[in-house]
Amino acid sequence: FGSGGLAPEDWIVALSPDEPDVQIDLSLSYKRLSKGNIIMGRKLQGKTMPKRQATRRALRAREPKLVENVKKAFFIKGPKSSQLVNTALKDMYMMKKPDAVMLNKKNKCRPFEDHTSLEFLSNQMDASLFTYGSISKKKGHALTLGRMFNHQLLDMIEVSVNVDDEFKSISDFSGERKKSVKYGSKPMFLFQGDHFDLSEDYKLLKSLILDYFRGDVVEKINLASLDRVIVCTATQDRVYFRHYAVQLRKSGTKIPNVALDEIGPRMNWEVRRMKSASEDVKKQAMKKPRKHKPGSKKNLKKDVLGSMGQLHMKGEDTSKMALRKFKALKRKKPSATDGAGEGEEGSKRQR
Amino acid sequence: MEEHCDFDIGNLMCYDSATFSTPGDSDDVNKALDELAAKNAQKLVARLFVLPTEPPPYGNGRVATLPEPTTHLPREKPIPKPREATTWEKFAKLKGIRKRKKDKVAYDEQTGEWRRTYGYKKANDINDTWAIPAKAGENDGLDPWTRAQKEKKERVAHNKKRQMQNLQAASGDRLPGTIDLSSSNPAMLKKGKKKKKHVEVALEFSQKSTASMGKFDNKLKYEPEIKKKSKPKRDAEFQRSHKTEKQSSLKLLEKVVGKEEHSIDVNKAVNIAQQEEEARKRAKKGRAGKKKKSKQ
Repeated sequence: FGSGGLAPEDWIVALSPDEPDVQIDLSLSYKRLSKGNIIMGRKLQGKTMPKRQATRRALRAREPKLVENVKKAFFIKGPKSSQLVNTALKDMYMMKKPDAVMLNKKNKCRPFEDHTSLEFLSNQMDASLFTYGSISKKKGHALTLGRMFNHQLLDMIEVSVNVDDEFKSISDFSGERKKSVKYGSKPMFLFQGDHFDLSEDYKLLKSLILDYFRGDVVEKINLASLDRVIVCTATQDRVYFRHYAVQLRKSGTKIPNVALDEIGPRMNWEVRRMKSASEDVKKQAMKKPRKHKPGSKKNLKKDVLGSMGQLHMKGEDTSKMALRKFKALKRKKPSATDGAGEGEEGSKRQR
Repeated sequence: MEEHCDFDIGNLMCYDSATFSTPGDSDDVNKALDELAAKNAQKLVARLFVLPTEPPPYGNGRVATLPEPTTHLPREKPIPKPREATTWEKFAKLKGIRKRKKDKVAYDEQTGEWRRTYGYKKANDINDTWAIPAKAGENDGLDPWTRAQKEKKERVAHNKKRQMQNLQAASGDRLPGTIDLSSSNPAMLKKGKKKKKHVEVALEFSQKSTASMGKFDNKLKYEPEIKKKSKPKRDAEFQRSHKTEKQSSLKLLEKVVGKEEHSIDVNKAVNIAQQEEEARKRAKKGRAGKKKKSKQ
């Protein structure tokens, strides 16, 4: 997964973060051209076009699209990390799978001070979501959840984990109900508490959690596959993160009875810091692609046999049109002045 | 309780904006959370199970059609710019030409079976027909099989050239809306067919448009060499030898007057013709009598 199936020499060249705006149109076919033609050889817009079809396919998958791919997340550890934080990261990674990458090594990276390394990793793995875990004296066990726009930091929020000593990992919960939750299923969401409307950081957290775990946006869903629910409850100083398996039991009616079973992780969060998106970047990120409105069909009447409309034509000059020519129409009518002479001649010819 | 709830069915989300009051004990907190979650989950499921459903393509359950999500989340990447249409695409749009889907198999009349349209053992392959009647207009001296091969090569070359041009245009080489500088060079206009692209012409102009004709300018990485103007022919003319000058002058004369391929002395021929004519007449007059001769 890591490098997205690209050979090292290919992605280093093709995905240089210093030129984010330059794009190679990969929908056009690549042709191996003669050595002499420098502009059209393998270099387009100063960038080298990848040689292998597999690389080009991988790059095409990463291109900006109208309907986007599922957002991937990467999980990273800071310079100092605790077992609790590691477990929390691992649990969230399992929840986010298959669209997730777990980075096992510690990184000299502090998101709120310098986020360039995070942006680099985001670009490398084509992952626009991240969770950074670390431990510090001030904040204790902390997670930083964030997202990117165009592989540049959009916004992030830092939360303390294990508030009230309430942390239970997935492995701490009993095994029964966990098995019923299918790998990669789309979760339901419950956000509880009016604070999600009142404070900016809770608003961001709500948006982040939804973005993180919602997966693919689908038109249709099999109701039998609704097997888990993520519940976030906000009070003034806490956010309670809970994850349940859903059991739909037959009731007499069409709507089944819901029974919830906690499967973990169980986390109590306390919001520490937040970095919200700058206005211009936010505006760009929130842009919606233009929907093609079906044009109003004018001049259309429908009856039993079908639809019809009226043709409006300008007057046409028949003398200039290429019509069938009839000889009879060509013969000139004898006029009054030279009628006598012509008439005689004509009669002569006939004889 | 229902009034507090906002639903975003497209995202399978329920937002209960009722204030959650934390009970004192930690165990009670979890219990309270579980209870609240169960209540709200039931509400959400109730909303989901009233959606229009259809049977799944395979397996169990019912497939519900979800409405569009109402919560607007930020995009991952910017909205892509639409690709510029190629020359053919523009033309096709203008003329209203639509794409026709080609079949993968075609009926081969000779063998009487369905074969693939291209590739190994394709249908109606020209190489399978052993005799092809010649058409009246074809004068190129080729047999139809060689002609077909040649035409295919030409088509392939033409398509390659077009694709290259499309790539160039897509990568921005063709700059729409800029001044077409080829019009500034009258020589280019006279020729009719534009061999050079206006950008190349503009580059040529700009390379020489310094006081030293671009001799001491730093070049960019892929910039072509400055084209040197060849010396005018006039100087060469003055340096020719006497012999070559004579030959060239004669050549010029030939062009004007015409070559002496069948050199006939016109005067001589006329004289001979006249003498013959006179001799004939004399013979005639001799027979007639002396009277006519005295008149002369």
